[in-house]
Amino acid sequence: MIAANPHSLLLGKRGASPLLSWIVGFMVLLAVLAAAGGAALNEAVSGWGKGLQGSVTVRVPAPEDAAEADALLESVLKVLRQGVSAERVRVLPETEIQALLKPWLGAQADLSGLPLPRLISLDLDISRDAETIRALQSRLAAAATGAVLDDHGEWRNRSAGLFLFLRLLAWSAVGVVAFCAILTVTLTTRSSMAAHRNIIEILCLLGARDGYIAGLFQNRAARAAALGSLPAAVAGLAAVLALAWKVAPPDSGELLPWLRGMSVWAGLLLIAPAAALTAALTARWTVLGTLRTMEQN
Amino acid sequence: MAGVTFHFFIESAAFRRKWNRPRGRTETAGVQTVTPEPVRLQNVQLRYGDGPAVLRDVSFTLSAGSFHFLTGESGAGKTSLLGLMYLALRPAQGRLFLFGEDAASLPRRRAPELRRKIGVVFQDFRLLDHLSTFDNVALPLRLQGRPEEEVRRHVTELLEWVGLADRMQARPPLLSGGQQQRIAIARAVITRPSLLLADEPTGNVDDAIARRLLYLFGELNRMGATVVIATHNPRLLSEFDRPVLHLENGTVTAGRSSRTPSDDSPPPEQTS
Repeated sequence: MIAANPHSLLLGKRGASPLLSWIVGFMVLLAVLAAAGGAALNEAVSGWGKGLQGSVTVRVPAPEDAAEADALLESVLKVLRQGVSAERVRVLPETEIQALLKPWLGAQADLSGLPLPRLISLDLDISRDAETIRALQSRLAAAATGAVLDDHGEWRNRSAGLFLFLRLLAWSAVGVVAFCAILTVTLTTRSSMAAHRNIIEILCLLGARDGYIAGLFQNRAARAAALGSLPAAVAGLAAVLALAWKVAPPDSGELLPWLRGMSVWAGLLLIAPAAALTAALTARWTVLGTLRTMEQN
Repeated sequence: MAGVTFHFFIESAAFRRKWNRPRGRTETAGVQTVTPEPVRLQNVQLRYGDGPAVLRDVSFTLSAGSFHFLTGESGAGKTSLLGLMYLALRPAQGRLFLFGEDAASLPRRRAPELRRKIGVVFQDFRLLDHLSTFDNVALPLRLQGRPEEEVRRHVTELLEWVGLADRMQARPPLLSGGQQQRIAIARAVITRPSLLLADEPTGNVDDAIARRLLYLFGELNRMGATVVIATHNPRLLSEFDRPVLHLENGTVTAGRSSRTPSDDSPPPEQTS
């Protein structure tokens, strides 16, 4: 039969790149896993950040004398209610405070004899209500000795640094994988060009434009990358689902607490076509660049 | 290769319609337009890397519609000179003009346009072994983006003319040297080039077939193509009275292939 598509014939079937498919496949698998990790971390940090940012805690020392302790708490509440509406102020009951300590002291520990401070939670946003918080801090310092308004700044800053580091690690992994994939496609294309040098020369002498020749390699690289990246992306997504299922809290009722956003999944799904597109563009630029130096050698 | 095949090729009315178009000088409503010479070399020197000069101070002009033999001993530089003319090589010194374009200053993006005016029969054929006979001949048309239906029609017609209609799907390695040569010739002429360069096109065939091939090139030339044939076959030269460019010691001298002054091609104009 006469070939209808000359593009499929010019470089021959033997010129296909199964190795490129495998390499790009593994790269995509790594990229999907790293990106999923980065996205989950993003979601988690975002959720925790919102939780921490939206509340401030006032710690009121508890003198041994109960009446004195109650009076101190009242004076603190009085100060707080001057700056914040009553419904945004919540005194944590003692049972809740003890529950907070149980992870450190054990479920069986008897906390009844411990002088626990009283805790008051204020529904304030630390960035939006910064002025209010500063005013409350100064008034509390004057009115209630020992009472401390904690905006979780120190813990938040340390956590933010750690999470930023972990996120950067995840996205760096994606970046390194992408760079390696580009490097692989470049080297594979150069090697393929060397193997097909005779064909390229004949095509040039017959009047082929650089874009036409680049198109041959570009299409081949895109096909090889797509062949490798699509199954790899599917495998990667399956692995992410399996891991998320495995680590999800049994009573959460949700499969993926940190991967709920559709944009996360859309992003992960786009990795495979992005890999094919990157491979195609890399091959094209490599061929165009190499052709410029090839003719006279 | 059957002689009748080439006879049909040359005498075919369709072939004449395809090829019989004015080239070189055209007259429209009494106004004569002179197209630029297909090839003009001015003091051209060619060397490979730091090696000695293969060509030195070569100057000549080929007018449109001319037919020349290029002769010289093996290794004299015939293939290199042809390589200059089909833009595979660039002169180390001097100037080379193809269809009025200075090859030295020709932007890379314009080279394909110029190459499409040139048909080349390579000494070693340079066919693509993984393509069929049909696809090899179709390649120049496809590179020009011709519609597939047109490609199919023209290639089939031409392969019939060169006697390879029954070998369309065969790949070159399975064909004889003579058959491969005919594919190479068909590929060179399929786009009706203005300049046809053939490097030892009779090197793989016996004298009878060689004469028929030269007869074919002569007919193409009569229909307007400028033809340059590199050969060192003295018997062919003696049978065809054509202008000759003779290469020796890296320089070109002009002459004629036969002493019979019966040819209508102008001798190459030598400039210095």
